[in-house]
Amino acid sequence: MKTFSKASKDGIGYLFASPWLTGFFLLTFFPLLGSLLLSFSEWDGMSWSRLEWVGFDQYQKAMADPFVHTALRNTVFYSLLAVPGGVLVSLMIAVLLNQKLKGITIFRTIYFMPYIIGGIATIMMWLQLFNPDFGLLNLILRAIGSALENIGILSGDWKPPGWIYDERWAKPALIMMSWWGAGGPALIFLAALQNVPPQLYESAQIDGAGRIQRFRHITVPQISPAIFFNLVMGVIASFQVFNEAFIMTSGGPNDSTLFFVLYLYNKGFIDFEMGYASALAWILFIIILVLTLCVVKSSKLWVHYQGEE
Amino acid sequence: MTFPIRISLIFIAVCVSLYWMFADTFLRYSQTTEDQPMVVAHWGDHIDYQMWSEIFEAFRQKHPEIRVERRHLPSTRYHQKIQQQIVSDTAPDLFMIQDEPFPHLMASGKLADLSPYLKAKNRWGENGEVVKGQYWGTAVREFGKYDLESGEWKQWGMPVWGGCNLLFYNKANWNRARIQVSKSPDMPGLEKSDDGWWYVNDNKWTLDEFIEVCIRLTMDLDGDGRTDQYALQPTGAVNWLPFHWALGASWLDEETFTKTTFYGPECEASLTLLRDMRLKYKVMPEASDFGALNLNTAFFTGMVSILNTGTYGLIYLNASGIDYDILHFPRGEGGRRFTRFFWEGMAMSRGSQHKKEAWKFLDFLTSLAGQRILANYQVSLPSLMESEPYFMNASRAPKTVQNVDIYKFTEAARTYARRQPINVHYGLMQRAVAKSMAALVSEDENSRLTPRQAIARYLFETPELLEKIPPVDPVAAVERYRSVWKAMSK
Repeated sequence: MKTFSKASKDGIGYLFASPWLTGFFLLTFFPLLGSLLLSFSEWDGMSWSRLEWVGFDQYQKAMADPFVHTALRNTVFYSLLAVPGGVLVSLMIAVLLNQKLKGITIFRTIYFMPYIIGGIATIMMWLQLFNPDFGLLNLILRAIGSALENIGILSGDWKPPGWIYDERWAKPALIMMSWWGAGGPALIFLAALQNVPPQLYESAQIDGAGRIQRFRHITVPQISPAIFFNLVMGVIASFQVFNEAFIMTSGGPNDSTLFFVLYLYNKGFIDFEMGYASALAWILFIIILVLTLCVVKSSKLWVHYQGEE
Repeated sequence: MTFPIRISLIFIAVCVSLYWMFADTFLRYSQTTEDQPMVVAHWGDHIDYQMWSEIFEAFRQKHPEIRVERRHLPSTRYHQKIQQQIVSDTAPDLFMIQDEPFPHLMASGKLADLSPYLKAKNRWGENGEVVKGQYWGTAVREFGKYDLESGEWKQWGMPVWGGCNLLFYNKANWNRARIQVSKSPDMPGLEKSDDGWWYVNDNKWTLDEFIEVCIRLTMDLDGDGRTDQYALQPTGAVNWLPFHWALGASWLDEETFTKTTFYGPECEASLTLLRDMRLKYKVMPEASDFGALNLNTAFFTGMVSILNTGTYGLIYLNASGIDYDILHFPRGEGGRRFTRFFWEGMAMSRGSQHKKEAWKFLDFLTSLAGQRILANYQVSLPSLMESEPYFMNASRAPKTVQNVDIYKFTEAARTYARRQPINVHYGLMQRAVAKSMAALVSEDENSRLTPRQAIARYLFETPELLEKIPPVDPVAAVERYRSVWKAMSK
């Protein structure tokens, strides 16, 4: 049997990895490097001759830009509610889907389906649901509202929320919408729940632990690596929220859904301030990195891995 | 399956996949310039599509030797798409473009100078006077500028159509409020007759009379304590300009269009009026009441009684069958009235490999032969003044509505339409104005601003704006609004 030298083996290895490596360097690494260099320049994208080196000016401009502050505030608000809420909702779904019921696989499919449909189709559906005039949500709320009006609990000038058309409700509406994709994280929770050793529940039950105590002291620590994973992924995704605001609200009303990536996109592809948009992208990268590191650091306090002391 | 057969099958599969993925691209880039047709991009809905089909067909008949590929893009984010194509040097040879982003594009160096073509056609004169005289008001000027080096006017695009804003009114709503438009030119702006009806003379009505009409038009039709019929739609920054101007305010200095005038007592009066329309008189719905309705739908359904929009509104309203007509804007300070001009034009890519053919298309589109087709559909006011009679008759427009005073558009264009304040930083300025104005009538009381606060926000919130478009009188602006901004910032 023919044998290969180490160099040949390495060469074959690189050959097989080359499609991925080519893609990585051409489509990720070099653009990444390019955007870092661009962030220190001013460029409208029209011609390389118009590129001007400005040092840290773009970063200083971002610090003073009120729209960056607004966008950051909106994004943090969204993240603070969407991520923990999303983890909670998906955990609840996973607990329900972990029941030993007849036809549970159908329910699992139903809950997972929104996660894989995603994208524009889902956004169009939510646009209909959030319609203040004929959307399903307000039809239901109006029916409840008029019943409550009849018995005198609500006053006559009550009206259901304007959802994405009302600056007070636009962010909460998009946060609610983000939970629609809870089926994905729920699947990870479900896998984790099914890996919890049943003897732990049995011994806790013998010791007199109730359902809530068992959930708190056995389930939660046992699935904490899954919570940690979903939390990290959630934080990263929530800081990159874009599609919903881009398509449904364009950042409005009154900048209430102007999220960081949407503003970055506007600066890059509407105002053609490529240098500034690159600086914003790197600022976002640093924010996400810091937050992720915080979650990773804090995980030592609350994430338990089997086999650990 | 033997090893060679397996390898051969894999090889064939890979080849087929590569062909499927890249053949089109290779074909495209392997073609010489002569093989490729000239590409012309435009936006629009189904009626625009029909109209453009007729234009392309007429051009093909006139120039059968020129191959044209039509690229119809959806209206949504059309300008973003085109500008991104321009930046990436993949723009079509010719493309429709609005006047608002045009100064930025003129400065980009990505457009072809059309002046030599106009000169060759004897449509130029000293500094483009010939072509400027052939088109409506400001139309030609929006698509050209003086070249700083040569001191000569250069034309970077040609106006295709446009027009001005006027007030469209829903007759059923007006009848409910017992208001009619008088046909008598001698009547005052607003008068109550003995039969209890109110009569409006829109050539004379003042802002106060307009507000009075708006209040009467705002009605609770079913007696449940909620407003069902409003007077006006929520009005954004640009559509508010006619009222802003009527009160003596403006956005930019008229001389150079480079310095801001969005401050001072006149500007405060304008913003106060906007705020009062929403919060005091409540003649405009809140944004959330308006919800997902677009302006035309709100007008069709009777939710709003007056639609402040441009000539392009005609095509939708004509197709709707709704009984409507058109009104002039009311008069403000000193009896003056204003409306804004807007223009949409066509420009040529500097990198176009079909410049001669592209010019032939552009020349056709902006000559009477092309403009007649546009005029006949009445999608907007054709930029060439000579085509006015065709616009009035509109033989191809939907004929569901009769006796609309369409001539008011050309009357307004001739007598009181004003150039929209557009400069190279228009996007930045327009967003800042819109943000300040939106905060005036915010539904969230905590973030609602007074007129002075809104102006202070416009002036001081974005340092970049202050740097690029400084106040025409910086000392006066700082004196009047700096303390307001400081108090807000706390």
